[in-house]
Amino acid sequence: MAGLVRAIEYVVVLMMGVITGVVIAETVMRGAFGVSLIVTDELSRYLMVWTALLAAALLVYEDGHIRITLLPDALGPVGGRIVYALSQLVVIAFLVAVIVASVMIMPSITRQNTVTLHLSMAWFYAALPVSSALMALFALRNLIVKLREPIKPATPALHR
Amino acid sequence: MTPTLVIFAVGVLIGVPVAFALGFSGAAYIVLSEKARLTVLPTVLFGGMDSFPLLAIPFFIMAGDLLARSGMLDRMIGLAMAAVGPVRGGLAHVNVMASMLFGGVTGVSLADTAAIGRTLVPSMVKEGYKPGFAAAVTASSSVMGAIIPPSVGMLIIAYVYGGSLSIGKLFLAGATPGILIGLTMMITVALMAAPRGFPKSDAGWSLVVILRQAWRAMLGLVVPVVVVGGIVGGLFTPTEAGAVAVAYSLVVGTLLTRSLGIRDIAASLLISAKTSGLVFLMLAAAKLFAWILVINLVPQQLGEVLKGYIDSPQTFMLAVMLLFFVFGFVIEGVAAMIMFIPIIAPLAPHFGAEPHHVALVILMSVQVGLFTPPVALGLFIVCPFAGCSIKDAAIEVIPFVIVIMLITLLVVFVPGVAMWLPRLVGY
Repeated sequence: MAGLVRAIEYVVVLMMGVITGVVIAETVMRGAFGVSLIVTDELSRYLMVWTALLAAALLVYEDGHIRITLLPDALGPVGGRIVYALSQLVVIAFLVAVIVASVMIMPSITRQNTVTLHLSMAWFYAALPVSSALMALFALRNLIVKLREPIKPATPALHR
Repeated sequence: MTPTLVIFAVGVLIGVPVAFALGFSGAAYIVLSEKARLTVLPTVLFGGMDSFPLLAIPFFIMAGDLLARSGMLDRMIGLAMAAVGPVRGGLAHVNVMASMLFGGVTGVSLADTAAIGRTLVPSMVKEGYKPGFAAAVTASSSVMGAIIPPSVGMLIIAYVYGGSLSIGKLFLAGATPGILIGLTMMITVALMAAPRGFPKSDAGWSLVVILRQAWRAMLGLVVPVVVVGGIVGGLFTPTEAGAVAVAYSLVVGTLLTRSLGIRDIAASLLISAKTSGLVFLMLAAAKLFAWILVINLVPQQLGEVLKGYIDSPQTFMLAVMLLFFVFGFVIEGVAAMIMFIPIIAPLAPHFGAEPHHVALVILMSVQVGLFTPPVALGLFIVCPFAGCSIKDAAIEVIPFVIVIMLITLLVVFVPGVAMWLPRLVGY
């Protein structure tokens, strides 16, 4: 799993770098020479969707998405664990819905072409099912890791 | 509609990440109501993220991060040290002033919290400041990052608002209140200095040193001028301004200060991608949720109900301020804005409130939550450096909470405080 995470990190860094380079180049070209690279707009937008979704998958792995933990924290080790399991299941259920719906619309998306890139939109819409599958995988992993932890009484932060 | 809201509320309460709680309840609505087919889900989510203006978010995060890695924050601290270091409570003043100066470089709160926590806070504790106070002043002053332009929070608000806001106008509106927060915090420190016996260094003032430090900090000080000036002057769009800021910080970091290596750049790319991933996913899911609210006429109905209680733009803004103060307190600023602006924004015209003014008040109100428990992300970052508990710092933040509330109230009741600058350049 660590190898997969590392690979996603490389892809994210690479894509973010390409987006940044392309938009900088476009801005400089337009500002200095009044010329516009036609592909910049679509390329950077669609690559950003991939980048953001893959980065969001990394955050699921790290449990880094913003959430409110007041109730889970107040419930103690056992209750907190049940509630955590429930919350991960909600996450997975949503992701499964996204995957199913994405697969359903793929045939019609495949026929759509991007305006300037001459590529099928499917290449970019694929970001949704692919990263949703990764997110669901990571959420499932976090759930299993949490459930396998031995239950111990919470130690106050000061004595850790 | 009601089951959707209940599902959302229960989801958030049991700790489902906000983005997924929004998405799940949105998907549940589609399935239960049969008003749309589930296949709209990918289209709405993709559409919520596919936007050229949104690219400004990763760029401004990256530019601020790269400039901090280029040693620009240290130069701001150097300038602040020369300017306000010699007074009683010098390091506390330096802490606030460095955040104020760096606020023009970074677009996010807490961008400087860890760095100042690492450099200034241990010296403060060694000099005899209470650890809780050192942590409180660091966390609370760093909120200027989001209020002084450039501001990623403002880019997010503008997107959630639906593209009717001008980024240039919003950026300019934040400048004066942001600086006022910094100055008022410094006055607060000055008032505490004698009674609490803050230390005073032996160093004296020297105009030569101040000018030399200002010259060294110049590379960072010009960033807000170029960025905001470029956007306001119509030279480039906010996204292009972000790209220019990234290009500038790369030049500064690699050629001028020579402190940026390839690893720093990769780390910066990863951080900006991750922060954007967090925000984009919430924005996309919120788009789905906002669409459901709109087709169910929730904002209209809410507006009708509120009309009985609210009779002026000021009362409306006051209500908005208190609402977002509470939201920021229990949720987290960005999530609170993305969740609730779609409901609040359509109400503003009913009560004659100017949208940029409302947006600024919302942004300022949610900042308080960054250093007040339970959320208090800022305190969680800085307390380990100070060696204090969250509880120690939580008491010390109270005066700074009051400062931000007072300046926000000032902006609510005297709109000119914020809006004179945008007006001056013709917005």
